Amino acid sequence: MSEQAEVEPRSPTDSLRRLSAFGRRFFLAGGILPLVLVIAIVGFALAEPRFLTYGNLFNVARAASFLVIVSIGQMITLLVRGIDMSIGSTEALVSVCVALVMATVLGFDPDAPWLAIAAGIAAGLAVGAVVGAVNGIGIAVFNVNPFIMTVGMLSILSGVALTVSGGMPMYGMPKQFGEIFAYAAPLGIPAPVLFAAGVFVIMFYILNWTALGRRIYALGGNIVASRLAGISTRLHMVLAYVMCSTIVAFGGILLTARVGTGEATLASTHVLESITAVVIAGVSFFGGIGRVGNVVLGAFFVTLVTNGMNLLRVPSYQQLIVLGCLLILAVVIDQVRIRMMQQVRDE
Amino acid sequence: MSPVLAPSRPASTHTSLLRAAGIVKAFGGNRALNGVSIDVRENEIMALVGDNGAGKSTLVKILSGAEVPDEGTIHVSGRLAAIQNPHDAHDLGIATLHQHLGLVDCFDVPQNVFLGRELSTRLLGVLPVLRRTEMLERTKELLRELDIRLPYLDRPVSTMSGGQRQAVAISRLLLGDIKLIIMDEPMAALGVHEGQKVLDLISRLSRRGISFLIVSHNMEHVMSISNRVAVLKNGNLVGVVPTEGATRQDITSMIIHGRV
Repeated sequence: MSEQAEVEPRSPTDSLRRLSAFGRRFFLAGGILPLVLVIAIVGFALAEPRFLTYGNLFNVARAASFLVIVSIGQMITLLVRGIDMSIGSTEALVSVCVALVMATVLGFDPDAPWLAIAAGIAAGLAVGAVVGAVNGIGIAVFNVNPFIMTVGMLSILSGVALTVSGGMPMYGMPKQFGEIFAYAAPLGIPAPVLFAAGVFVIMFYILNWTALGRRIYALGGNIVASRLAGISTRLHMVLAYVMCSTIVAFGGILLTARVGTGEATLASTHVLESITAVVIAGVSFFGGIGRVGNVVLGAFFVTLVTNGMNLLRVPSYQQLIVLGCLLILAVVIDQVRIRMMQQVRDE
Repeated sequence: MSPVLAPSRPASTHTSLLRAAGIVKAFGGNRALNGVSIDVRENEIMALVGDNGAGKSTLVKILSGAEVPDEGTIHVSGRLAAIQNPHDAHDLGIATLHQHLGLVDCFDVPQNVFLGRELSTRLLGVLPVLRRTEMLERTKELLRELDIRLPYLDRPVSTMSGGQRQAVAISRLLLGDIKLIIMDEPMAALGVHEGQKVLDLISRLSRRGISFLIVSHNMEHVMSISNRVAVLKNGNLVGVVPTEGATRQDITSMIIHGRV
């Protein structure tokens, strides 16, 4: 019996066990994202042939790039064991401010569209940085729970955006803004995709190859240990939120260029979608764990699901149900993964 | 095994490394320390024992910079030292191993060793870039020097055993120029075998000239590893006795009755 086992080391159960061990390691390293991404692509392609056309993929890629950008921002707050519920209203306020500044500059000098664009973008990014600083200071200095702090800010920012805009779309931006930042497609690649790629490269570098990035992970992994190691935890916490909101603001600027007006109700679905994208990408709610590359895939996945449902004519009300289920499922899977990691340690 | 010429329990020189004199610390109306003087010598392992509430933790916090004393002076290597925070203590060569180790669970070994002290270089003179390979190599070197063996360095320390994590935490402390390591209950959460390994590590480091101040409840460990035992009771120093020549009963009696 034992001889036979030596001759045939690969019994069916053995290779099955090996496969499941491999699957488990794969799951621990990257979550279920690769699997669900493949299932979604194959499923939608089978159900709707238009799904895999160049035209549709172009659309998906462009639509996904906004969510990719804000999800990378959201990821940073999860890495420091926080959350940003205010990203949608940050985008809305940025949109209103960008439109206001651009229209004002153009009002002074109608022949200076580039000055208007530069001033508008600078104002938008500045609004983002200030929002992030307020969130970060509330959380790091005054110890407000991140969820409460950013829900409060959600209401405040949205109120400010509605007040400034009077609830109406704001017109008067130079047409070059949309042409360059939304509709240009050098080499057939939509501009938002290129900008999203740029944000990804910069954040990949910062998170993986700088001390700042390491410390952001450390903060979420163990804030007490970080403090004992001499890291200025408050400063880094504030920095994390400033980075998040500035990236989100950039996303809001691109979205404003695409829509063509300043909108106080822009991107209201981004909070839910970004959290879903980030958690399904294996970024842990418990802080310190997550890869920016997976977040890009996660945001792509969420956009893909929305796009696929649109093609299949799923009514938008029911799409909300699906997105909510996805979010909860992603969090459940995160919990299972954390528990499995602890089991690995116990073994 | 590296050749070890020194005896396992080296006779400590009598030069003072850290001298705290007349340390008083009160929290509200409660005097946690009532004028405690303690002297850790170069190359010695001193155990700090006492009942709950004797003031051990407060004393350790003051020496490691986590608390500032109300009264009293601290001299390090003969020079008056103002220890206001853990950073000051570290600059003076005093490192503290806390009970919860201060490790980031989801980080691997080099990431933990270099936490807060990451090595960077500047790419093209501008962009800061982490020197990952160098940090890994220096971690390996450090572990080799300390004779610490870990099965792997590139996995999160959460996957390691208690003793291995302890070893990582200790090696982390030794990255700088450290003369004294303060440990708060280092073996509390470890099994017998793991605890023994940490004791071995402590005596190995002691032979290399590092002093220890160890808070412990475990009399067996105290008796087996320390050169001298300092006993606290109700915020006062009962006395300091050489471990050789003292029995467990002697020390237990000091802890309980507050007399030598």
